[in-house]
Amino acid sequence: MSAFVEPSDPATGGRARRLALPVFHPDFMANAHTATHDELLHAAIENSVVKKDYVRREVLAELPDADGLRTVAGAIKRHTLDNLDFYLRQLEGNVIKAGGQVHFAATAEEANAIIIAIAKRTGSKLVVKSKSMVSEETLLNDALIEAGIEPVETDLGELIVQVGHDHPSHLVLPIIHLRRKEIGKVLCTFLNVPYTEDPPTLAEYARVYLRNRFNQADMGISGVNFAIAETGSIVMCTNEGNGRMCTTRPRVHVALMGMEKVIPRLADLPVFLKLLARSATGQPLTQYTNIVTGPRRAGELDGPEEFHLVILDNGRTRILGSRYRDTLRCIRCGACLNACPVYRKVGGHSYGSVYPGPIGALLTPLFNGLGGHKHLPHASSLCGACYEACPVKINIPEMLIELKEDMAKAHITPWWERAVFKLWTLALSRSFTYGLSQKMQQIGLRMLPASEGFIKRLPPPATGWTSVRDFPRPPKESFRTLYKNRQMSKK
Amino acid sequence: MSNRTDSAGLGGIGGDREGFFGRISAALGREGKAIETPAVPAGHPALDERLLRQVSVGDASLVERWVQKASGNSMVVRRVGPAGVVGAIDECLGKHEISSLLLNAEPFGTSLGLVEHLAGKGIQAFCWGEAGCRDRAFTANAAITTCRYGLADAGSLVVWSEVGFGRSSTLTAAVHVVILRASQILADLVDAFARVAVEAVDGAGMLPSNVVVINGPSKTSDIEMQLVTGVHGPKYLYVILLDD
Amino acid sequence: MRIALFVACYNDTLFPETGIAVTQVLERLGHTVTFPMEQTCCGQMHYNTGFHREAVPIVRRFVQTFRDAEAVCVPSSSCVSMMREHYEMIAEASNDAAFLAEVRSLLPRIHEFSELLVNRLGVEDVGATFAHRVAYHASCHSVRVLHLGDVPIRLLRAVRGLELVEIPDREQCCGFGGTFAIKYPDISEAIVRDKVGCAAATQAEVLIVNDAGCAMNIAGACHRHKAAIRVRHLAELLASAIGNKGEGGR
Repeated sequence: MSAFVEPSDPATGGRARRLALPVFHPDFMANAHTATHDELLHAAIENSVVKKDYVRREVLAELPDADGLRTVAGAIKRHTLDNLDFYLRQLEGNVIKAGGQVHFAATAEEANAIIIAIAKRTGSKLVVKSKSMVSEETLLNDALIEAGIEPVETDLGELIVQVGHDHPSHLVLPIIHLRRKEIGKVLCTFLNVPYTEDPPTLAEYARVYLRNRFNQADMGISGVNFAIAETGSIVMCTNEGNGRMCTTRPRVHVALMGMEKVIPRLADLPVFLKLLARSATGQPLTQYTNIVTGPRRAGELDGPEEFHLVILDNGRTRILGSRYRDTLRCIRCGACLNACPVYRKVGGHSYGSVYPGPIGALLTPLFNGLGGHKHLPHASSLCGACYEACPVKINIPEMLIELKEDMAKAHITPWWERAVFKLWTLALSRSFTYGLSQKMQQIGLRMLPASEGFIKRLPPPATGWTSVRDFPRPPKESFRTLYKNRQMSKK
Repeated sequence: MSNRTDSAGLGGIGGDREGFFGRISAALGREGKAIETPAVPAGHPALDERLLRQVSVGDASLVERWVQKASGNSMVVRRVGPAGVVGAIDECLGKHEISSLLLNAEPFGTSLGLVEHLAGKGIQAFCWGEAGCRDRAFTANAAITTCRYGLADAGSLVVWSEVGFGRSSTLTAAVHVVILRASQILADLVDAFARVAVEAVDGAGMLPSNVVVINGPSKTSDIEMQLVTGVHGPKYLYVILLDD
Repeated sequence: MRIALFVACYNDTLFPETGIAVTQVLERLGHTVTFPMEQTCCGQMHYNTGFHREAVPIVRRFVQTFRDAEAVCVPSSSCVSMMREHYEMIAEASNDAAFLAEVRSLLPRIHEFSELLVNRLGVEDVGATFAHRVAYHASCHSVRVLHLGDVPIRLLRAVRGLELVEIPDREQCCGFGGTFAIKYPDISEAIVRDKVGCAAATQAEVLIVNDAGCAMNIAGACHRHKAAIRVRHLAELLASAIGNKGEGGR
């Protein structure tokens, strides 16, 4: 029985009190139904995600051998995961050597508690945050607020999400689902400034507001794109400069990372840097690649006085020990989202949880248990565009199929579907039954009303097909009948 | 590796370290050996530079490529000989209303007498290292800095923090002027890290607290994918490329 | 050569004209085409939906039926993908060494129809004539698993009188995905609507496909949306010659 059928508490092996990933919009079918009819969403996606997919391919072509480089990147990640205990210990040792501190969080709650404890010990009341998907996973902001600490998102898209009480709809481009009118309304209301929907003006408003916050903040919390074991460093790739601000002005820097973000050596870093921004946004590099090693050194006049690295499990070890280990290669570039025909039609919010798109269709059931997310592995045409786009070659389609196998074995797939497939196997295993079922299909389908060789309405369970398109009417004679007749007429 | 535990002085904030590593070891099939530090793993994939390197050291016109790429990244590049540095600085700054300027550009600051020169232009310049420079950096309109390398593959600049060079210097002012010597231009990002590992490390072999690869002015496209320059980092990035 | 035809279950029932066309083309080229009657299905629907145990008897049957074939021709890129990606895995999991050996021996002899013509038989011009404006949709399997590249295009370019038009976003999925199209009709429809739009934009008379799944889906959508374009398998086009204009298709 798959380990992912029941969510379990990694610390005690028992039932989880809370899901590992927060689920915001649980009903995939309803979400997808609404989104597939949302013209505005599709126009926004056309303008963002689809363009990013094109430009990814163009800039990857600038590399001498992008496919070969992706293979190496995937192999480095696989090697690291296979030796994760070694590399995390090495990372820990080097962070400490550089004057930093390392904390280990088994669960989301623990991670939040650790960060709150650091804040309390350092007297931090105001926190500025640069983009961190892991902090969304742990619902860190809610926990900070409950503890009387004020978090301020400083990535423009995340700021809009925060003040609009919304959720990001993409791993890298958080507010592609919003139009400038909505953004203008949210931001200008929050900042109490005259309404505008002009992007440069809105960015300027945000810049002035956040400048003030950077200056006053006690603590900066950042995500981690890569953590280098050999040097005890964390790497942040940003465009706006907010990540640098969060790790320059405040006294305390807390970096929160999923355990899988570690890479072995500094020499490995260019492999990932050359693939990350190209895959995510079509840039050769982000504007700033920031390699942070511990707090400021003696004699330096800026930079944090304390550096804390919080390493999170929250279900990752369970995935590590499963046949889905390779999902932990993910560098959160979003290329699979951009390439996915399903994501392009349903948008990020439909997936319901923190991680959308093809990688989310794997991670959400893996973190939370298959039962609560039974649509995600099935809602894929298995076109393989995600695998083709993935800079670390995660075989997403194959793992979606494996999740479906887990679901079938756990009887999460409905009984009638299992029955149909079992019967179908019987039919396909013998010539006689095959011939009989074929005849039945032909007769049955040819009885249905049709026009110009197409059937308008199929009976259940295939009604879904004809709810949106016609079905070709089977001819009176199958190929094998025609072939048999031809052979007989030859004699 | 240090013997200090991660939770030293934090009253147990550190979390259950042994439990954490125990779960990883179990997941990797190393049950019962959780406490041992595993041996250095074999099997790190070989890195074939041919897959990775876009520009080689021996390639002609590294400088030309750097200029082309940097300009494409919205850096404004001015190529000058040693005598032209001050004039180029004046030209770049002249496009803006500058009242306060951070200087972090030794030895140029002293050798060119920049503080006095800028004062003559009505610009109050202060140096990184002076009292109060950190806070003044936050409100300065402009900054002039040196940098460590230029990278020809993508038109990047590399800087790192140290006692005499601040993180803020290349971050906080809206107008950032960089003095880059042509001899500092390396071929590729691959070379940058190889050099950093040798040139930037301290006596204990540690990297500087903050190494930054800069690829242009700060920007965002979060709002309907429309490009806006100058968010939290510099909006205008000038590079004075000194032929040497 | 003696070529065994695996027609694929949906071609057998829904598009027998594909099987007829493949036979005609190969016979015109001087080969003998056999149709082992014991064949049923490749098992991809079962496997892709997670019914891996239930797929095994279907796979065994295929291997048994074709084990002695000199070459197997399959006018279905998705079936060949299933075989290349999963048959060895399935045989290994069965712990049956003989089964595994048979799979390994058979796999190199299996060819998708267009790769059989171009890569194995070395033929690009099959003597076809089809004086119409035509666009080509590349199935996801043919692009990403079989890496057919421009093999189908080379065959199309050799057809006399044919005007080949490039379809925008040729490699975008059509939205079939097997049971996906039935279970998630909203999403499937939104995807196929784009494909129909791209096809219509070419103003082609015929859209060529190399997989019955794509064919069912796109043809059904075109008909529902009253798009004028007809959908046909590559084989039907290549079978068109003087005296046999091949005006069928839907």
